[in-house]
Amino acid sequence: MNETIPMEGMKVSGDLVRVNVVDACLTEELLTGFLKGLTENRVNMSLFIGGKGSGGMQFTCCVAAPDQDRLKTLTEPIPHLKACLEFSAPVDLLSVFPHRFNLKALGLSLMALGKAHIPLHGFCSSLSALTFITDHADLGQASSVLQGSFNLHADPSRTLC
Amino acid sequence: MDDKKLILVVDDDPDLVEAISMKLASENYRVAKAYDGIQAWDRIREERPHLIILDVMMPNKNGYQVCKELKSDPQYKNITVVLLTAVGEAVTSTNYTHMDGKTALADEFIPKPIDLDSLMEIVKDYTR
Repeated sequence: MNETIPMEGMKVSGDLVRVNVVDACLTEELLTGFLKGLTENRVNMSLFIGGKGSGGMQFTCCVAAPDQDRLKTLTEPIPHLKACLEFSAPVDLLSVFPHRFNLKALGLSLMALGKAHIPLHGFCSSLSALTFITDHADLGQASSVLQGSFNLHADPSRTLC
Repeated sequence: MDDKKLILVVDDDPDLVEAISMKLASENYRVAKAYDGIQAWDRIREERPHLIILDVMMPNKNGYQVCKELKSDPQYKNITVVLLTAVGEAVTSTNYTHMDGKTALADEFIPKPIDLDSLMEIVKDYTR
């Protein structure tokens, strides 16, 4: 079946690093303190995926590559957290929108990226967008694959409601 | 004939566009969307909105440019423009200032992060 789903746009957020926190057993209080530090120091997060499991709070976030050192400095007072931070090679975020709450759009994206053997470091949905974390080196191919999977700009955002 | 007022929402953050659009739709407005300044002009020409909610920091053409062009065009200058501003003191990476906003001749300014209820009040005031 060759169903095409209309999308109005694709957005690339580049020059990022992914910060992964593993096995940190973070308490909510520590995480809140860390996030407050980011806010006060104007370290912008392009993406944040967090969750609470049996091992405590864990999260993945993406920050601008030039902010990497500042982020490390901010974790100095939280050695427990600092020890669990993993910084990735450069990544980009690719977002397609709006998904219109159509789960098929997510399936199509994952299948297309998988078929093209593009490594995914994470994905998430928000109110409008489906966002995928890819290696910076794969940005061009990932972008082509997603563009090929959707009918981009086919339904330019005319009067909608 | 559909007498609902048409509002154009322009921002490069698709989630913010969606959030504002949903709120407007719930208040019985029609909504058009654009994600940069160039698309905004396409929508303005095609649909002639009653009011435009316009972000400042956008790719291709920023909100100040769009607003200045609109307000200097006799055909469109009466369209109300509400600028969403996140300037200087709030966003360290921008060179935009409040003065840019004043010279752009927007009708209203709303600082980001926006308060949706305040935005709706302004929209209602200008579309009565």
